[in-house]
Amino acid sequence: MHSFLQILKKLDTKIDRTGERLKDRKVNFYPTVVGPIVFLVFALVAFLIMPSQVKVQQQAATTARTFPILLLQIMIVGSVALLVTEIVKILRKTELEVVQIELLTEIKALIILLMLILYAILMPLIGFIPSSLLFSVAMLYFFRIKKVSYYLIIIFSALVIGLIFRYLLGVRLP
Amino acid sequence: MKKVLLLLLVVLISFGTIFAAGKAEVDVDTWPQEAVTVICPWAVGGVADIVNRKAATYGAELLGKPILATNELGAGGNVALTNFLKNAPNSHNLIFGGEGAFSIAPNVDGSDAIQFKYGDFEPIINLYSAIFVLTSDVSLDIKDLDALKAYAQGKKLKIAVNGIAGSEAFLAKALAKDLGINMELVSYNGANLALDAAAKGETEFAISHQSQAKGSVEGGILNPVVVFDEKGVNNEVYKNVKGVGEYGSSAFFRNRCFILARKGTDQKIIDKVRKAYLTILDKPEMAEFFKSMMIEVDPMDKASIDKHVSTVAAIVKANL
Amino acid sequence: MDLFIQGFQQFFTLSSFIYINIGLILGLIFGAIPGLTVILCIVLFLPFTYTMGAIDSFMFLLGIYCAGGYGGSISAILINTPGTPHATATMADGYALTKKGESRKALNIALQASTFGGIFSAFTLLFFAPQVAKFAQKMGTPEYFLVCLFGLTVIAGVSGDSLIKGMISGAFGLFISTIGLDPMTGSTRYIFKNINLYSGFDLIICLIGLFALSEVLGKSQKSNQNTISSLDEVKSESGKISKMEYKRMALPSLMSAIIGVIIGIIPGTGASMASFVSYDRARQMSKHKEEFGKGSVEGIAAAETANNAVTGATLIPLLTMGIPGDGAVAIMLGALMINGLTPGPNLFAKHGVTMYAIMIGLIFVNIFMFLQGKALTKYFARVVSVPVSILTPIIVIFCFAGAFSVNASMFDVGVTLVFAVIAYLFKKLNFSTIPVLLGLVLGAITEENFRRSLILSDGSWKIFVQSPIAIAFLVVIALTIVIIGVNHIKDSKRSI
Repeated sequence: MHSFLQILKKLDTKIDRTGERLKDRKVNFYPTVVGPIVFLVFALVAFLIMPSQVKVQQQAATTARTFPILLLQIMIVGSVALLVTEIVKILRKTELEVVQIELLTEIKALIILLMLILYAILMPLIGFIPSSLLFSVAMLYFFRIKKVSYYLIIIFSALVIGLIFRYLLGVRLP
Repeated sequence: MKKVLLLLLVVLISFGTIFAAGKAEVDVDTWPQEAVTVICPWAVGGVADIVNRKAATYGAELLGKPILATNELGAGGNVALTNFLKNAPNSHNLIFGGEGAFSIAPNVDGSDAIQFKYGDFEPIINLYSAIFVLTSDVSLDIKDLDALKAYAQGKKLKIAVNGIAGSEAFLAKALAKDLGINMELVSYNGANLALDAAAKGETEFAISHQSQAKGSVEGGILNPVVVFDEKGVNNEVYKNVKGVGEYGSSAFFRNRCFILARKGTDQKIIDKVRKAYLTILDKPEMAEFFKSMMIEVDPMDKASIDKHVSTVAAIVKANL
Repeated sequence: MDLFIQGFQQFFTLSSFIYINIGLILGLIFGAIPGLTVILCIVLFLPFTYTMGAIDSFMFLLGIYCAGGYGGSISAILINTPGTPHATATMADGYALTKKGESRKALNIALQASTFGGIFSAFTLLFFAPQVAKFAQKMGTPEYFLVCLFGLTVIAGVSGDSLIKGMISGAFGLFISTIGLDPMTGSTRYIFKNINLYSGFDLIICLIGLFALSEVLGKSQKSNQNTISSLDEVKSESGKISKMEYKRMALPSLMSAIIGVIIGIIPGTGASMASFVSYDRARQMSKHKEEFGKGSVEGIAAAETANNAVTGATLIPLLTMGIPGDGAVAIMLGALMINGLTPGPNLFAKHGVTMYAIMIGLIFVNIFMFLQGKALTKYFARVVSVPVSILTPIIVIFCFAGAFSVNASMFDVGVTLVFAVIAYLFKKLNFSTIPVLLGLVLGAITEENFRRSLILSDGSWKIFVQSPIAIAFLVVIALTIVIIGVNHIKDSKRSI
């Protein structure tokens, strides 16, 4: 137990140091250019796989493909229109909208996402209540909470929520 | 911090032991060793769900262990039936099934997503059967098939159905083929909306269960034309309505709901469950409910359920 | 009048009052907690009603249904996460007020507006049900489509900085809604041979991902990790609404109540559409357009009035024709049938007393909702003083439990995660996620009614101009599009 706590402490300082290092790292990001490209690619891929994914059974005024095609067209036209205005801006040498993305924030978001995925994977394996306990404690650790009382509150809450769900409400949980 | 970790550890271990216990070998003779779960793969509040929950109240009395009635929805029941394959034979989980999953789904678009087949299950008992009825907009004054045939001369009829690949749709197609009339199906999102469409005159006809059209027929806004059964019906709401069988058509089947176990389940267990449900179906409370929902007790066995599934499949395949 | 008095006597029992209040508190809790939904609540507690009488079980279910209509706004206002889809329109303005330290005021507005909307529709049901039902019977598939089309024009109002971006987001949401079985031809669309995609995405599951879990991902930002107010700050806020504010909210609320009733009688649309349309109307009419999205009292009042005005209205087609307007009401249909009450033209003739009991009961449901809300508002408001580090994991636990239990499916939990990532990316790319939700709400019914109309007319577009109601809707849609266009040109001129 004791050595485990020491490992935790070491980990703590390591995380702090990494955080410190990444703190001011920023990446330039052009949402007005990237955004339309993302939607354009999405729509084109959806178009490309349509023949295998949506079968047309009869020749009628409208088919199963009519609406998806219309919607993808709107996305393509919209994205191209947005891109054109950006290209015009580049040609006119007016400044593009730049957003500075903090690397640390994005890495943290990724860590939260990983924790969520892990939670979802563990749920059917070890059960809802144990995985919820692990997740909530991990989340507090993520927020760098040192107060023991917080951990006690969260463990208690997770337990109570799980028990109410399972036994009082009779909800089926993994 | 130390206390927290310790507490977490204790809680996790205690849960671990709870979950590790149980899961012993199933003894066929003393089955059920634990509560039996009966899964209804259709909506909460529907007929099958209510039958399931009412029946479940007799579980402890008849099986010695409680019956837990639950629902698992998705893809018209096909998700639950897919997941059910994870059960081993002799498991304590049972599931409802019907012709929709075994006769229709394997033959229509999307069948490549379905990973189960009828042979993966062991039918135990059919609980009830419901008869479909064709109703018409009252202003057309069509009350039997002969009048319908006369009306259909040189016209394309529009029939409102619940879903384009549901039982109602195939019954409509099969009947139109037998009568040699021209009709087009209009799919609505639910039997109630299909009936409403006919009542408003948006379509001329609708097909639904007897109970679903009850209100509109009683209210005099829809006329019953014919029921999709061998013989006619004669009850408070549907007075002397003939069955399509009486006109020489074979375009009929009833909607059924049967209990299934995983294939390979011991005959002793099947017999035990069947016997329990036969008793349940005899209870006066069930009879009263069945009457109000206009469904019939119909305790078919494996052979007749097999026949039902293949009959419906044949009608579906002939009318794709 | 005799029926009225008898109905009142039948309703006025201790058990009715008890069941109303149990239903209300459950609906409030399930509506308010992100991840838990009104439908889940009804599904969980429905089996208890199988043994109750018709009036008791209906009072219980109506309690859940109405409180759910209001409950979603609580989490939308306090933690920027709508508890129900129809509270999404309340979110922007409600949370803006919370950030200003006026969360109790926002909660009070939401409660009063919800109660007003609920009572308005309860009275409509009680006194005008036959007339409204007659009007509803005049609307068919083409009219339903036009209403949906009108609903889609709201996308322009919730697009954020760019109309084109809003259209792209909306088209994305609509496209997602086409996934699954095509209801008109039975073809499958983009299901990749996966049975779980067969019936498409559940709106509730998408909502959890789009708004609740994406908000959790947003907690990576330092500024989102601070607790908004301290407990003392919350306690010291009076939450009073000024006379001036009441004056400003009066007209939009009345408009929204009427919109809520009209949309409520159309099957398949429901409260989400009503709240968005009303919110958009209120913004168009307002003298303080710039406040919308930044803490407008009119915006909250409009959205919340509308989504409760739907409650009584959806009962009209249910009771007179047996047509359930949404999932919750569909379950109530089952509750009626179990008790031997068959909805239809004869229901009032055969069971008039019970019907009056239910309709009168609905008024009391709303009154009790107000009283419960009033008593609990000050406690709800304290949520904003709970540390983010504690609140966040608890929300996630609720979301996962809720997402799983709707269909008892791990697949759904995965879907919420995917939608959370989508919403996170949308935010990074400066696209609004609200049009996506609108697309998901309206997608299926818009397409279905459009294509069904053309099947009914054998392909002729004339069907959309064949009734006076349809023409009226078309005129409104045309006007709306013109106004959007004019505003758009004005805005772009201003920005140059």
